[in-house]
Amino acid sequence: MKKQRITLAALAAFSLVLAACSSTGASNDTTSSSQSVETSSSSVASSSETQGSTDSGTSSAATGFTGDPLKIGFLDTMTGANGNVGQLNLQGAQIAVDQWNAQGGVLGRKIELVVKDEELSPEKTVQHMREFASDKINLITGFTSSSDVLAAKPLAEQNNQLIVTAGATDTSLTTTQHSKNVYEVAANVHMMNVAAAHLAGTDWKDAKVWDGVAYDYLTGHDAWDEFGTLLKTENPSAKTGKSAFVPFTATQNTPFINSLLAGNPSPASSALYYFMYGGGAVQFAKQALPLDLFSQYKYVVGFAGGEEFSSALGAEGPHTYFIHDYFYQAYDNPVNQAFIDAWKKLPPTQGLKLAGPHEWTEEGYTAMLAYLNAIKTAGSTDTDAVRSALSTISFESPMGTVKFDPSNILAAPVTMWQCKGDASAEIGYSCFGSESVGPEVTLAK
Amino acid sequence: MHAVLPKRRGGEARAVGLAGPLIVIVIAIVVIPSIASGATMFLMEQVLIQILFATSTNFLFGRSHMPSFGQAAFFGTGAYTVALWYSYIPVAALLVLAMAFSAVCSAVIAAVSIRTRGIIFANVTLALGQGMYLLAVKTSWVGGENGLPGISAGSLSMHGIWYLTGGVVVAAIAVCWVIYHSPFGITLQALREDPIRLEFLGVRVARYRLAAFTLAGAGAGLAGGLFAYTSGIVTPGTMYWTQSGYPILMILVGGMGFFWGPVVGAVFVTLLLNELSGHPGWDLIILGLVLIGVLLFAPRGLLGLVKSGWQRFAGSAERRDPVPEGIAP
Amino acid sequence: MLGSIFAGVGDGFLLFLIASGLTLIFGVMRILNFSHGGYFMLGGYFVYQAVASGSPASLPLPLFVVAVLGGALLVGAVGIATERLIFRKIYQLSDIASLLGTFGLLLVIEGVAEVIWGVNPMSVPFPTLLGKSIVIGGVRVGTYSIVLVGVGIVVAVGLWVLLRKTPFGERARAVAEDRYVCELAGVNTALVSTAVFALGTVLAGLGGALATPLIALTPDVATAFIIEAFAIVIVGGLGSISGALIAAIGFGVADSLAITYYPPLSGVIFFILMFVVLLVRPQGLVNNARGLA
Repeated sequence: MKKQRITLAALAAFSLVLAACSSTGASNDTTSSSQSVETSSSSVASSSETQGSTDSGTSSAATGFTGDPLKIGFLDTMTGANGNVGQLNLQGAQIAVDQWNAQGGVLGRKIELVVKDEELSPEKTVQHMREFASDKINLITGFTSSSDVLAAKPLAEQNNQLIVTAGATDTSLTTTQHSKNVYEVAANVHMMNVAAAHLAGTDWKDAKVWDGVAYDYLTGHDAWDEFGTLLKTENPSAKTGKSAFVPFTATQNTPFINSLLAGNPSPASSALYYFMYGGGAVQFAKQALPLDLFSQYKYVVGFAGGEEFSSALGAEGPHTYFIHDYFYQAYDNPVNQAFIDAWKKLPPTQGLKLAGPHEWTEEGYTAMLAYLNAIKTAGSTDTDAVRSALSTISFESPMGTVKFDPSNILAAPVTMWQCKGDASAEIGYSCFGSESVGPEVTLAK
Repeated sequence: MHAVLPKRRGGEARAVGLAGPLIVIVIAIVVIPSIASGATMFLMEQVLIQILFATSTNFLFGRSHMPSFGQAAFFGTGAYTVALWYSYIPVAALLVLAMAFSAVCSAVIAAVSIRTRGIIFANVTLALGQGMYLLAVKTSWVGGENGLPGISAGSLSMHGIWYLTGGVVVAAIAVCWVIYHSPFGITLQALREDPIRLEFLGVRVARYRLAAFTLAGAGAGLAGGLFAYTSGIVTPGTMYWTQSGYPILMILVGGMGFFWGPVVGAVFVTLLLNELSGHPGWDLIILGLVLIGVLLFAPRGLLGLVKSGWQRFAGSAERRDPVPEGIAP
Repeated sequence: MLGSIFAGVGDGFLLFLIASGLTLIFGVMRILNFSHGGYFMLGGYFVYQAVASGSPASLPLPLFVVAVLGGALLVGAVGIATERLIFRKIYQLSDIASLLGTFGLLLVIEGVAEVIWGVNPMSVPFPTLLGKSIVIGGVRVGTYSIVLVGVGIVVAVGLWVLLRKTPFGERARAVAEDRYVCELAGVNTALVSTAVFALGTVLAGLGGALATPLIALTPDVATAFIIEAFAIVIVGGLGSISGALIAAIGFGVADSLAITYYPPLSGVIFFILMFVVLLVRPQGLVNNARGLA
């Protein structure tokens, strides 16, 4: 018994030391993030209660809202392996809400987010969509996972709710699975592919052979096949070479790396299509670095999650061209500036070293801006009125003036930017050289 | 032990053992739609489905001790069966088909894996489920990682699906109860305790194991079929190995030595998971502590606690039930 | 062909480092320890924590070595604490209940890591001198992988010597064979158990710490590696260190060959091999029904 108490005490002391280490160590990546997690977790926890903005009270007293608060549903994956994406989406949505509340809200009403965690599971999505319906919440945003959008769609149609997805990127959402109740803010896989192929025919014209790496899942295979088809028209002199599909659960990537190297890529005329994200993308890169895989390619082209990737790899990070919806340096307009300024006031994100807002933050922000502008134009929060406003209005976003395409996807530019490891930078990497490909290109095909 | 009870009692007492708890469930099924919101009803549907999933999995744990860590594969098989054919086959027939198809799949798998025992069996079944998951995410005719959405149960409304789920689960539980207390079920239990002696007695042990595994697979498939109808979408995530862990957790928490243990466990665990939603990290910590706590301090589960509490209260001279075989070394 | 085999052997040795501690603990305590993946992950995070405040430019080799050894020992300390607090009780349970108990512990460790470090992937740079590759027989091989093979061999030989040639090993093998008789003979079996558990967790921590330059650190590293380690330990023959070594290299090479010659099998080859081996030899490659081998 006594022994056990001693071990308990030792364990407690040990965990204290650990906690102290983690908060004082790694400069800016852990300390305050625990705070941000707590904020959001408490907000997710308070099931049907509404969650005020972070500066609730002060602004409402100052501006004097009229009418009941307007509740907007925020349903995203907040926990588990992809919880970081949902947390960043929420960060962006909250910035937009705080900015508008400081200006008197919308239609004189204070805006409140009702945050729910869908745990990357379709059944949780269904449950929370029904909960929104019984709580009379008809405007919903969030959504990282495309399958969760597909799970929510029939309920939105049945209960006359709207969904503006922040992070979902599956092409089917606005094509074969199109719904008049679902709007999509993030650039989808098709748009990213068109932009990549477009750049392969312009900036990267000297790349004659394109090798590919993707997760071994349906979207990975489809994306690589589509890119190959688009490449034929955009750059007829280029062709696709080796491809490697890495299972989600793989811990060993060397054999895949060897099979790419076996194709003898040339540093002068080869390019690598790198369709991975999250931990798997980082792990593949870690195992590829000592084998000099990346230096065998003139261009390494990655997709969503560029800063997540660069932040994890730090100074070792290869020179990578990323393609997704937003990069903070690429746009010079007042909305983007206000967004960046607001982001800079936030505590740093746990485990992520950033010099500017992440694209996932921007997606949450722009999705919320779409709603708020549409409500303002419609003069109502009624589903049909907001829907017709969403389909017709143009609004100012960090990427300039944008509007939704008839297929309900945001006709916004796709951004290409570059990052590479940089030991002299405080965050271990630096990003530069951005360029955008407009919707007239990405949505034409 | 526990299974001796029905032998001692007469048929009437047995019927009460089934009817009592079942009436509580039926009352809940009738009352809930009038007092609960759509979201709560959906959550309760998931509770019902997990009750069926855990109860059928208990044929492998409480009864015959074949610790399968791959039952989610059969749950997923049933769910995908419905997702693929919901627009061609009426609900009742498709649920039967989902059950039958999962039963066939599990019989095939069982023929291979019952050669192994204990933790090796656990790992073989775990590997199987994981393999199915990895295949599903890249297979286009099951929709890859996004799964198959838009499943509808014909003309059934939200309430229709509720009563369908409730009715099927109640009927299935009744059937499970009958099997559990039948000579077949009792033999399964004996099989767990002393397979070698049973083999000497002329019992074809392998056949019993095969039958138990098939039965559990059929139950998982039926639960999966109901899941597809309630949630309207099936994704490969339903087959991920952690999903196989939940019914086991439920059986342990409720009490694996009791027929109603998995039922109590399914209610408790599903509602606990719902409460833990949205707390990054802490959800895992609390779930893990509950699992450890039950194993160490309440090895006979919640029902075991209730029973020993009742015995103490009633001052029963009866010897306390020993820890069931599945837990004790 | 040669390239695939080299890659597979390199991968196999990393898996062996994880599996060795797992099979050691099984051999003596008869527990298949899910939480082993958690100790592995902690080893990685401890190294991250030790080097994160340093310069991002390069990680000096001596600092890395100190961080790896310190991380492994710290994991061993956590191992001793959990052994005293939790495993002492888990030993009393049946094999399957103890498997579930350790699964509960794995969830707790994973949750704690998520609270402290979050889920954004992190990494530790390659230490200086070890981040490059050399060419052997026309095949490019990472220097770090060669170091891992070296460490793996040292661990394998070290364990063999420890278990076969020292009084401690004699006791451990005796306890593995018959705990009850050992107790009657006056062996402090509790102490032996703690020592073996500590050694097993140190090996897990060492594996995790050494793996950091080759992986992305996230809390679910714990589960990603443990499932493969389980397959190796079971195929090798539960409790057999030589079997684990053979199985780890076999799996590594088979996976590598599958990826090279028939990619659709990548990822599932592990499970297919496990099925086939257990069908032919349900007791695993190296039979050791009686304790450590």
